[in-house]
Amino acid sequence: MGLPGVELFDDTDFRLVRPVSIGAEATIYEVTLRGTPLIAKVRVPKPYRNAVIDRDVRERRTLNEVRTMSKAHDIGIVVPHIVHVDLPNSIIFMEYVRGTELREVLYKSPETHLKFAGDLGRYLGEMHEHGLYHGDPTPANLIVRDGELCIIDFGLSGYSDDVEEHAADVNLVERSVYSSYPVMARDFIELFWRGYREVRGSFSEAEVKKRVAEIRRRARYVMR
Amino acid sequence: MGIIIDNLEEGFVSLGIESTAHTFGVGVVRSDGKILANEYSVYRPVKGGIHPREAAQHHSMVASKVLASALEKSSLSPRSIDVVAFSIGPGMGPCLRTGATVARALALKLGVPLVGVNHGVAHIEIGKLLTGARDPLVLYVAGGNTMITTYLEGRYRILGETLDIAAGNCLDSFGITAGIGPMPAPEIHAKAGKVIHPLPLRVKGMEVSFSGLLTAAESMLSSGVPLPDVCLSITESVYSMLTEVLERALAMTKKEEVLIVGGLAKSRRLREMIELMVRPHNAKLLEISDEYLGDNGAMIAWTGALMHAHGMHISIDESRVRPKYRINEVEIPWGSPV
Repeated sequence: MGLPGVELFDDTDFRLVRPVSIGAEATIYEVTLRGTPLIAKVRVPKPYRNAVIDRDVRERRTLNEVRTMSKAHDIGIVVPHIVHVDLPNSIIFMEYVRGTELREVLYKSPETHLKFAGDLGRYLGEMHEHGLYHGDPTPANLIVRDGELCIIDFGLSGYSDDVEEHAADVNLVERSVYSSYPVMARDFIELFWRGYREVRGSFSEAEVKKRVAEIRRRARYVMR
Repeated sequence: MGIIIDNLEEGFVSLGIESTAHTFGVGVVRSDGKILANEYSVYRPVKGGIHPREAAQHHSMVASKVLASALEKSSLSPRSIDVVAFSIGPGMGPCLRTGATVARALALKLGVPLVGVNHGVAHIEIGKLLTGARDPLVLYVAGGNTMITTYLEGRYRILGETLDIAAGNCLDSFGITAGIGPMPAPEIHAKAGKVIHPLPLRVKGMEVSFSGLLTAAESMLSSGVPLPDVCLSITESVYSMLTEVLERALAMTKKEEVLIVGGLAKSRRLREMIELMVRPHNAKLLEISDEYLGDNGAMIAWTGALMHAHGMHISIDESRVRPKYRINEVEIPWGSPV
């Protein structure tokens, strides 16, 4: 399979190092800008889509991602710094966060779960309190660097005060923690909620908890 | 492909009745997978969308005629029927009840078992029968349903679906509002379209939402954009969304076969897009002829045959229709891929 979007770096100061991952939505590359390693997230054109729609979709989503990332940064969440945005080509150049996936950290040193569970609860609490949701807060999108939790991939994020979106975030956290970290999942989730409550208060906590339970009752979440 | 079950070596004949929405259909299928008859009559409203009660009236008026012609096509006497199947849901209550009534009467008269078939499962099973697919990723797109599903551990699991209205419903509603009628009218008018105007594509993970898109297209039309251009914009947008979520599901499941079933699967343009999308994933889009993509009796008869072979019968008391019956509520004992 060829590497989509590589030619986009040809006439720039960015140098391609390697592809990091190829997804359905975007291709992630490691690049350098005058020696500094960066991540380039390229929303590649989809040949099946009409060109006008394709361009519109990619631009809108790139812009949305940049906006929510910078909003998250403003309210104190650790996210990769944005370095440059090439809107016509739908590329976001951002800081390369070198760290360890949360899942691995927890596996190696379970005692640290206390801290990160609370951090994650506070992060999502802050985002939801500010009308922001992440959309995909799974372990693969949580990176620990120098003892600090960083959230990446805002590709599915958006603005909403709807408790449904907030509960969907939390539901993903709970499900992913239970599946990848079953031993201490219960503890982790309890600490997660404590952090969440610290930011949002017990009323919002109860509201979101109730909706998470409701989402789980809906049969369609059997598999994910 | 046929049913190989030890205790039913003899082979049997299943008659299926479809009546979930606008189609009243009767199919006759043999347990080896041979389709002997697939007759139907479609209710077409003079104006507007499907009115459930009027559709049901149509079904009760044509029922005996369609049934008789299916039996005639199959060259079988009613006595050769071994099991009667009907679509028990999901669908419009009055329509479902009409089909159920015919099925009950027929099963009692012939003294054969009754099977209640999930309409969505039937769309998939007939697709698998006709294509020989073993473990496909399925996009089920129709006037009342939009979902991505695949078999896993005894059931069809829903990977993603619409959060509001079905894709077919979106295009039908638009066509009716625009005065050209439901699908395929919007797609036909789209062929004359020249300019595409971007509409909001609401996709979240593997879920889609069409109601905002419909509203935006309707206001685009009333703001003076030529009808063919709006038709082109809305059809291209809806199909792009469906192809996108299907690609995400394909990347996740890594399936090698893709099936599109349901009335909207007849769209050439949708098939073309999906064909382009699956290629780099080394997957194959399997072809089903139009006759079996929309609602039909053969799919109910075939799924009824599978259920009969697994003893999944219901008594008259249990045969109440289920308008909200979800596909993942059905146990699929025959589903495990080899």
